[in-house]
Amino acid sequence: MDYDVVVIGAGPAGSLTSKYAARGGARVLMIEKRQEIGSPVRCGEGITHHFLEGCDIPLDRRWMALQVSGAKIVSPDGHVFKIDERHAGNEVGVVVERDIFDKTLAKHAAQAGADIWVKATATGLLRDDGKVTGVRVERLGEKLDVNAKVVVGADGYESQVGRWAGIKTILKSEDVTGCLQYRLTNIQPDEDFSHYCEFYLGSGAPGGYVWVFPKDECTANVGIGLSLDRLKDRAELKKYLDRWIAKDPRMRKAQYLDMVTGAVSTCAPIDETVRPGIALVGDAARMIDPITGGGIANACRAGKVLGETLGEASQSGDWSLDQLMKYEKGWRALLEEGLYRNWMAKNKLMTLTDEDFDQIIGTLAEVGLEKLSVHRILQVIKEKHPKLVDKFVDLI
Amino acid sequence: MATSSTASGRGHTQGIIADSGKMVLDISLCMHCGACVGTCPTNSIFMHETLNTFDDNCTQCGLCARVCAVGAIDFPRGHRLSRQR
Repeated sequence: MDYDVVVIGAGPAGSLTSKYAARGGARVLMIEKRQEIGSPVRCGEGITHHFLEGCDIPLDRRWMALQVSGAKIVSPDGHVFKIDERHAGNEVGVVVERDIFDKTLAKHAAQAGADIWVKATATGLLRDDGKVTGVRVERLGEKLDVNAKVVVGADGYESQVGRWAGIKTILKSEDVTGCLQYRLTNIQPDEDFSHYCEFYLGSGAPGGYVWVFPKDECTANVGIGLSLDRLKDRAELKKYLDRWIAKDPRMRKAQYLDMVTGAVSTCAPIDETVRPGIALVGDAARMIDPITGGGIANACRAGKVLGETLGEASQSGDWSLDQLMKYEKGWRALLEEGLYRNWMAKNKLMTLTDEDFDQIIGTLAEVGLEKLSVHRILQVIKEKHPKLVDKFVDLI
Repeated sequence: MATSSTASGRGHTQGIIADSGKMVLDISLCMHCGACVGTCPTNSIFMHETLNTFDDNCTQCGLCARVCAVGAIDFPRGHRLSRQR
């Protein structure tokens, strides 16, 4: 079996890569190991609008659970900093139905001409003289060798493809965030509930945060992400999250609709994402924003660059590493600086105490911000709490 | 790989245990989320549709047991860090 491009994984990164590669004229196969694209959901489901238009993803009621007007960042002692969505970072705007969102993106890939298989697992790479030449696939019990000019690893956090190709994607424990989320319903809403994505900082979620992303007027994804180097015991995530939920009066009568576990990378950009015949994209390429833990926007934007690069290759017939380097350079131009800066900022945030968070968030709430940026936040802190700035001095 | 049921009669709440000799997995708890797979520094865990398996490269570093949100991964019985009795 022969294709120009085989994409492993049918999440947003895989579907966007497939869409743009197929649109550019490449013969594309996208394979998904699960029986259903988009399911089970492993996601907090909060996204912003900013990348959708550039990636030709029209807003569609079918995957939008609701739109929020902004974010609320809450300190340990209850100071609340509200951000209007026009000024927010990566993780507010739309709360999506992720399973439908992923299927919609796969549909776009199919409409562009990509073939899609489900319940098809990649089990190894085919190689010739150091170059990747295809992938071994198990599809419903059948073992197949699929030859390809380029294999794309869009296989998520647990990515195998990159490791098989010898690309270093291994994470340090301080750059891993373990996650647990419940979808809770019958929440007793307060005044603001369902209008904001809520983020709770401090020692209730060491080296991470608790999120409450509303799905409807009484339902929300309530989750926690904790840095792995702060997790000492088994199932500690659950203890932290259950403890937090028990303290929130809105959750007193809440009941479970589902439960989600997973992990995200919160690392600096990796050194390489391409080798001869292979490219990595999305979570597999460790493109998750180290501050928010959000991966969809970066996956889509990088997927577009990769897809366009592969489409171009199919036109010229040049599938060389030089051609793939256009993707490597392209995604770095878009994302690398932000990823690195946010990784540095994350490392600083992990050193803050509850008192620090109270002071910072209290100050931000008092002052208000017309423009949200790490730089502007630091300026405000410098004016009000010069001592705290010492912890951030090399970021300014 | 040895697979045994300890669901009843042992006074402990575990379900179906898959024991690789290096690490053990409680299949009834596992969510197949892949957190352990992506975290493993030696790429010793492979995620199949219904069963994650550990291979011989496992160094028993325990990161998988710590990152697992539901506590499905443990050291084998007899290991000093095992929670199994």
